[in-house]
Amino acid sequence: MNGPRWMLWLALLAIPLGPAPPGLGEDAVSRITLKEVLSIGALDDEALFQWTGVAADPDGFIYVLDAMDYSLKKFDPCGALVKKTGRRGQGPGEFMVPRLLDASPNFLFATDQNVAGIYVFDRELNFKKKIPCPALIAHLKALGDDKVAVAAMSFQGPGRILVLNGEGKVLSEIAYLDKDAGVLMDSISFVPDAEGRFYLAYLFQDRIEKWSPDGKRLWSRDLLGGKKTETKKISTFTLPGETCFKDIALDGRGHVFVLGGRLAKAPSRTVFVLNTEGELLTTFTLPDTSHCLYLDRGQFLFARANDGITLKKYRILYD
Amino acid sequence: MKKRVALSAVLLLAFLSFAVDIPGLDVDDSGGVCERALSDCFNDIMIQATGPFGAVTCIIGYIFCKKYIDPSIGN
Repeated sequence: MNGPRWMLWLALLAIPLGPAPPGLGEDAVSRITLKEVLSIGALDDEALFQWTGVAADPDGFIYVLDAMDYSLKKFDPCGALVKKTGRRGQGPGEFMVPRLLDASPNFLFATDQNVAGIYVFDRELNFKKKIPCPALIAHLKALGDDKVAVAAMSFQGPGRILVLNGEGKVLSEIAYLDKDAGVLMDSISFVPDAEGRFYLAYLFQDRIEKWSPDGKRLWSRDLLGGKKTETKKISTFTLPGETCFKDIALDGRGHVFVLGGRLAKAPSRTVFVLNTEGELLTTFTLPDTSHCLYLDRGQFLFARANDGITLKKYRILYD
Repeated sequence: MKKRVALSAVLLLAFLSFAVDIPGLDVDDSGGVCERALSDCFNDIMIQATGPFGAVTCIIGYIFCKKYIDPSIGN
């Protein structure tokens, strides 16, 4: 009598330890395909002229920075333009060279290329304030309604990610690269996870990294076989010329998506998919070249087409 | 297609955004538009007058050019 009962308990205990059903574990994916679900902007309409930044909210509204008409636009989930704000200028809510965009639950954070600060808008596109930043901004991610992380632009200094509060106070800092790495070798895209760790993709180095919130490198790996970017002498500077990785994003299932640059097999189209330990799971190819990847919580991927005239939204299909 | 080429040319100017004109810019040229624009930026008198900040604006323009333009119009 004791024997079967003991075996029953052992069997029950073993259930949670067994392999995860296919598709549920973060490492289960072996193939990813995309299905286009929305396209905004075409060569013969005026929805978008040259979009640069994109973000989406939990209700499916899509926000886009358009460099050509100096604006921030809001589209409904079907792709219809709901509202547009901004114009060329340097006043509140105006842009000269709009670039980066991200969203928190209630706000949008936008940058202008040559402005050391972040413009904050609400979801109705009302300009709220400008968060000062100690440097020009090469990359930006919202960490919450009152917290953002930025890659501070340096000329020849160490690469830094700064975490700022809504008043621009530096709350924490990650120095991810030595001063001697070379001009622009610290150029990165990054994405934070829910625990405050950062994944970094280097623009001019074959290097993907994961960092802890307290500034410790957790892992580092290459994806292009250690390729090195060619350098070119411009004026008195020796600068890298070929891009390795253009953007990095996280889906809601523990996958890291990395967009390859010029040195990838399909330049600006190859996407590498890693697990959170940096192991390569699979790759896929975007239908068109893109400068960025944006993944929303609903397993959708946004990328560009027609050199920025078109924004595409795809459903991510996992096998 | 005309819209695309015209936009690409204007976009490049916007990305670098140092001057109202970049002499010799030809979007059909496959050789280093970002590099040539950066060189022009460094040589711009207005940029030089702003010192290190001006140089940083040139560099950040180069970064965004590399991200957004390359390889759309050849670079």
